[in-house]
Amino acid sequence: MLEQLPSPNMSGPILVIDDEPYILRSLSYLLQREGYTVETAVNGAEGLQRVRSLRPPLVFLDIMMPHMNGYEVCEQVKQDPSLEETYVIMLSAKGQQIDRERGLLGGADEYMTKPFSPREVAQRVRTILAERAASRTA
Amino acid sequence: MRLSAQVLTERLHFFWNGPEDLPRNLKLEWRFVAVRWLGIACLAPSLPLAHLPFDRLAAAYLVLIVATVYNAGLQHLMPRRPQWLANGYISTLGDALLDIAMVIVGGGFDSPFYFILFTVTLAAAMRYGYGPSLGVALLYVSADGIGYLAAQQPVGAPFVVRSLLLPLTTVLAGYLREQAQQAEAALQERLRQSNTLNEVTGMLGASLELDAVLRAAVAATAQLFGSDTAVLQASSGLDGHAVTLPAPIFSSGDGHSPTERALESLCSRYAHRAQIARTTDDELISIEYLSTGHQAVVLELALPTRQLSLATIAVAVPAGAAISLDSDILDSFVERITLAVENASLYRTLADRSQDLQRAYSDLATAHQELLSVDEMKTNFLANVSHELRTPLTSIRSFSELLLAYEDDPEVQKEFLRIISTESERLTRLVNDVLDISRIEAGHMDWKMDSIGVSELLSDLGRTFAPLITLADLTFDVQLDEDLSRVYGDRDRLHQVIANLLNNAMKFTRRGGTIVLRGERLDGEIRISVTDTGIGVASADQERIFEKFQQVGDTLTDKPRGTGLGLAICRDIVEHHQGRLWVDSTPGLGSTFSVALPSENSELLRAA
Repeated sequence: MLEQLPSPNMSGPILVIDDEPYILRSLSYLLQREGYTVETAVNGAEGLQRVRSLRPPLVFLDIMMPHMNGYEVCEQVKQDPSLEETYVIMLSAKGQQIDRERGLLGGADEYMTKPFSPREVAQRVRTILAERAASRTA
Repeated sequence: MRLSAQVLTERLHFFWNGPEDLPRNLKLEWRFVAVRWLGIACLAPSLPLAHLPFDRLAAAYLVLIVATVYNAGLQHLMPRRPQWLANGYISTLGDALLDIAMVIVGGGFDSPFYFILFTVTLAAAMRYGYGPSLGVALLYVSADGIGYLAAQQPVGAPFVVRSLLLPLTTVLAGYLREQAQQAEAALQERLRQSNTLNEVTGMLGASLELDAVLRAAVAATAQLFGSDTAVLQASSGLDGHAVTLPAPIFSSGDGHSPTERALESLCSRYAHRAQIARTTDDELISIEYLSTGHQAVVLELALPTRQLSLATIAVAVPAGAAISLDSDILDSFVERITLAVENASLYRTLADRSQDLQRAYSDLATAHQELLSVDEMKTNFLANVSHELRTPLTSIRSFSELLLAYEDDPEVQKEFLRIISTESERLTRLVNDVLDISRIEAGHMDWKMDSIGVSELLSDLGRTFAPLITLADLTFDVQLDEDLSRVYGDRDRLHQVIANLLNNAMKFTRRGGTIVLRGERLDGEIRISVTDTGIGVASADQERIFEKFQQVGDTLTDKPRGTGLGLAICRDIVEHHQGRLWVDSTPGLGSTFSVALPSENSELLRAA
C-alpha cells in the first residue's frame, strides 16, 4: 500500500487519454485508489473535447492515438487561455530523446515514458496537485 | 484590223522561230532558212538590175528556183527528220553548191559578189566547226580551180592567194572558235562545280548529329563527282569512345552492290593503314582501280591536330573517265567536309560527356536516396518495435506493481493477473513476429521446403478452426476443388499464413457472419482464399495493411490486439514461395484474402 498523504485536492477529475484499454484501466485504478476522481478518453479527438468540458487540473496524454495524436491535442490545449491551469503529462512508449523534445516543445509540462511505475506516477500526481493547491491559496 | 495584226505577228514569229516543238539545236538552222527566203525574195526582183545578158539572167533565175526548192525541202524536213540536219553537212553543202552556182552565173570568182557570198557562207558554216567550214572552203577552191581549167587559162596569182587564204582563214577562225568554246565550257564547268560545292556543303551544315553529317558527307561526295556510288568509313574513335568496334560504314546506295562492297573494302584498307601510321605528308586524295572496272577516288578526312584520320570516303567513277574536278575545288571540298565531321564528332563527344555526367550524378543521387531510405526504414522499424514492446511491458509492470501495492482487493487481483498473462502472450507473439520478419528479410529463415498436399493442409486447418469459429457464433465453410495439385513449400509457414488469415477474419467479423476457406485451381495456379462477411478494408488501406506495424481499424471483439506484423510476415512467406497475397474487399460487406501459389509442376518453381 502506498503511503497515506493528505487528501487530494478536489478541484476536478484527472483525465487519462489513451487508446490502450489496459493503460486506462491501470491508471484509473491507481488514481481512484489514491482517492482521485478519474475520467478517461480513448482517442485524441474525444480527449480534447473532454479537456474542454471537464477543465481537469491534470491530464495524462498518450501520443500515438487514432483521430488526432497527442502532440496535436497538447497544442490545442496550450493555445486555449482558459485551459492555462491544466497540467499536461505526456505518457508515451516513444522513448527517444527526439520524441521527448518534441512533446515538451509542443507545450507539455512533463514527459513520462512507458513502462512507468505506478508508485512514481502516484507520487508525481500528489506533488503536482499539492503545488497547484499551494499556489492557489498563496 | 486588230485580228489581222495579231495573225501577222504570229506568222512572223513562226517564220523566224519555227514550230514550238522544233529541237533546240535546229533553231539556228531554221533561222538560216528564213534568211535564205529573205535572200531569194531580195534577189528575185533585183536580178534584172544587174544588166546581165539574157542567157545568164535565165540561168540566175534557174539557180533561184533551185534554191527555192532546196530551201522549201529543208524547211519541210527540219521538223520531220531532225537527225539528218543536226550535223550541218547537208545544209552547208547545199549552201556551198548554190553559192558556187550563183558565183558562176554572176560573173566568176573574180567578181566582188563572190567575196560577199563566200564570207557569208563561210561564217555560217563556222557554226558547225572545222569539218563543214573546211569542206565549204575546199569546195570553193576546187570550183575556182575547175573554172580556170574549163577556161583553159593559166592559173594566176589571185587564184593562188585565194586558194591559200581561204582554208587558212577557215582554220584560223575554227581554232579561235574552238578556244573560245573551250574557255566557256571550262567556265561553265567551274561554275557548275562551285554550285555543286556550295550545294553539297550546304547539306553538311544542316545538322550537328554525327550520323546525319556522315550521311550528308557520302551523299555530297557522290553528288560532287556525279557518281551514284560512294562509301564512307568512319574511324572507330570518331564518336569519342576509344573502342575498336567495327566502325560504321555509310553508303549512298543500299550497300549491296558489288561496287559498294569493293569501295567498302578499299575504305577499310585505307582506314587500317591510316590507323597504323599517318604522317602529315600523306596525300589525302588518291585514285585506285576497282575489280568491278570502276576507278575510285579515295578521300581521307584528316586534320593536322589529330593523329588518326576521321574518316575515309571512296567514290566510284566510270573507268577511264577523266576526273575533271579542279584541285582547289576538291581541296576546299575535303577541307569543308573534314571540318563538318570534326565538328560533329566534337559535338558528339561533348554531348556524351555531359550525358555521362548527368547519369553519374543521377546514379549518385539515387544511391544516396536509397541509402537514406534504407536507413530510415531501419530506424522506423526499430522505433516501431520499441514502441510495440513497451506497450505490453507497461501493462505487465503496472499491473504487477498494482497487485503488490493493493493486495487488499481480491476482486481485481484475478482481473489483473489475467491481463498480465494476456499481455505476456502478446509480448511473446510480438518477439516471435519480430524475429520471424527479421529472419525472413535478412535471408536467415530456415525454410523446410517439401512437396505439400494442399487438400490435406487446408482440411487440417479447417478441423482446427471449425470449433473456434463456431464458438464465436460464426458460420464456417471449407470448399476444396477435387483436383488440387501439390505445391512445393514450407508446410509450417504456409499453415501459419492461412491460420493468420483465418484469425483476422474472426477478429473482424460480427456474430452471425460467415467465413469461407476455399482451395481451387485457377490458371495453372493454386488459389487459397479466406472470405469473410466482416467490416472490410477501405480501398485506401488495402495495400497499407500489408506493411509493417500498420493496423487499420479496431477489432470488433475482445480478442487481443495483433502485433501489426502478421500480414507483413504472411506476404513475405508467400513471396518466398513465388506466390502472391492480396485482398479484395468492400467496406461493410466483407473481405477476401487470396494466396496464389504456383503448382508444383510449374516451370516457375522448377527454375527456383
